[in-house]
Amino acid sequence: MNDCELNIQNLTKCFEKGTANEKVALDHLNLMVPAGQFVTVLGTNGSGKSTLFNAILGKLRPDEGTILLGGEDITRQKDYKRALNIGCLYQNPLRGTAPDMTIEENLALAYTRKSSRSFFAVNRRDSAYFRELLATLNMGL
Amino acid sequence: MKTRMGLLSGGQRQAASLLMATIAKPRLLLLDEHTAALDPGAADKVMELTKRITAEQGITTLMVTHDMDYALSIGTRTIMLSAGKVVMDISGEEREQMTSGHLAELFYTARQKKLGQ
Ligand SMILES: Nc1ncnc2c1ncn2[C@@H]1O[C@H](COP(=O)(O)OP(=O)(O)OP(=O)(O)O)[C@@H](O)[C@H]1O
Ligand SMILES: [Mg+2]
Repeated sequence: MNDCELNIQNLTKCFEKGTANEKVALDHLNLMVPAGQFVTVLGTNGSGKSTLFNAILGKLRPDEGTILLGGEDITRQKDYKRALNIGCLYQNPLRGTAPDMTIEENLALAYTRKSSRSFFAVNRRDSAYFRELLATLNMGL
Repeated sequence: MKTRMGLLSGGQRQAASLLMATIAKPRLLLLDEHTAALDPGAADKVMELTKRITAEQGITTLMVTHDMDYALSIGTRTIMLSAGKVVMDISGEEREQMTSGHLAELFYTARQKKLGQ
């Protein structure tokens, strides 16, 4: 399948190989996701969900298998390079944000990580869009 | 928008973090239990925001959750991992017929199998 945005083949990761604590976290896992698809992922504690995400993000190196994103093989790509194409969000709300900066500044920072615009130049249209989006949620933002 | 991130409630912070994660239009969005630490009301709001942003931007997304209802009501496909493999993969008609109760059964069967190893 070439029209797959994310194409994971044979992905395998074993922690502490050869020890008594050996743990196969990913076992020849295959997953193909077409562009724009939203997939929900279930699984008991320790079934490999976060390990899968870490392998996609390049935070750990798989023992076997390949990961293609948008047709490009990113299996061995540096994590900071992939970060431009992959957004992620965890349970802990503070991870990845600067607590002393405002929402607007944090957004500007996230924005300029990818584009070359200067730091504080979140353009007006985007700013209005966020405001509207946040306002409709009634979260006091 | 002018509030410091550190002063926001958990739900507000996750909403803002979600915007940060998607503002630069990534090819892929990975959500790992991103509402698990929130109260039910805040979790619903962040889920609603998640749906809207991903739909509007058409971002390819994987979302880990332990909530069977969210797993079926958001997105168009649900997979289940067990021992590092994909053991269930449903979409379309099959997914529409699936109930959170039946899904929970499948979930516990997977866990029993694992414990029985
Ligand atoms: N850095 C590590 N070193 C050793 N073992 C690890 C490491 N990371 C994960 N594991 C093991 O790999 C297995 C899969 O863990 P993983 O975190 O992927 O599970 P999960 O599906 O995300 O679980 P949860 O629902 O609890 O978040 C577990 O047995 C875990 O103990
Ligand atoms: Mg996990």
